[in-house]
Amino acid sequence: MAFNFVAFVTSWLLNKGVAVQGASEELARIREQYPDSADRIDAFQAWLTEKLAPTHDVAGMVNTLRGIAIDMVNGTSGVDPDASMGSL
Amino acid sequence: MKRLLLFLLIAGIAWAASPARAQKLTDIRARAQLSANGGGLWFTEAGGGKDNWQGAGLGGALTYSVHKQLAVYGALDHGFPFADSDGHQNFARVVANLKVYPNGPEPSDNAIFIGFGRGWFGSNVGDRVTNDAQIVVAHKFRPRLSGGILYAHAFGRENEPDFDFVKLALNTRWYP
Repeated sequence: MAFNFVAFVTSWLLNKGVAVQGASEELARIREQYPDSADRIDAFQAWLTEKLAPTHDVAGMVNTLRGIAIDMVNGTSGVDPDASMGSL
Repeated sequence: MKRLLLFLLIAGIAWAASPARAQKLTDIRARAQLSANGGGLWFTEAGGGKDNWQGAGLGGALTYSVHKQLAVYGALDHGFPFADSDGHQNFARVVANLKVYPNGPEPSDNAIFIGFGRGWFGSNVGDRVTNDAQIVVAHKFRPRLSGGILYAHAFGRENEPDFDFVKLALNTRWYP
């Protein structure tokens, strides 16, 4: 149950473009290899951590901010028409 | 250490936003958005000076989109307690909100924001002042109507304890 929930949320994020390649295949492989949910979660978490580490570190955040600053300098910052969706 | 990281992130966002003044980012009509929201509020122990405060909240926000991925907003909320003895809750926040999803040109009805800012909480706004880190997951139902859940961690200042709060709300955009 827990593994299925984690898999569902992760798959949704991945399919929407949060960008980790090969997640579906890895989920299938883990399901076959590990009968126990706790082992499945551990295996998938280890795999995901390894995949995300290069892109979700501080350097990645700094690069994002740098990109935003460059857009502003170039006058290409744009406007997010849905910005207020996040204003909770 | 956490505070240092928070400071660096806020400083980075402020630095990123600073060239905006020279780039006609002062076009208020194009970039400002007004919204109102209502829903449930949950504070953990010590949240806003109340232990495990729960209630319904109404709030409003003024959002300024300085970039297609970055906005700054100020929000004011009033919380009506589920238990009368808890007293009402009022809080204001100023937050820099980074849109981390979607991060490309493709449109989406779903969005994830990570924000950092300053909060003023309590029976009276400002009883407790905090530095806040938050994440919002939102879904757009209609062009002006969305729903979302916010989770925030408030870092207490001057030896006051940290606390967390969650807000589940419907959000409607008034302007534009």
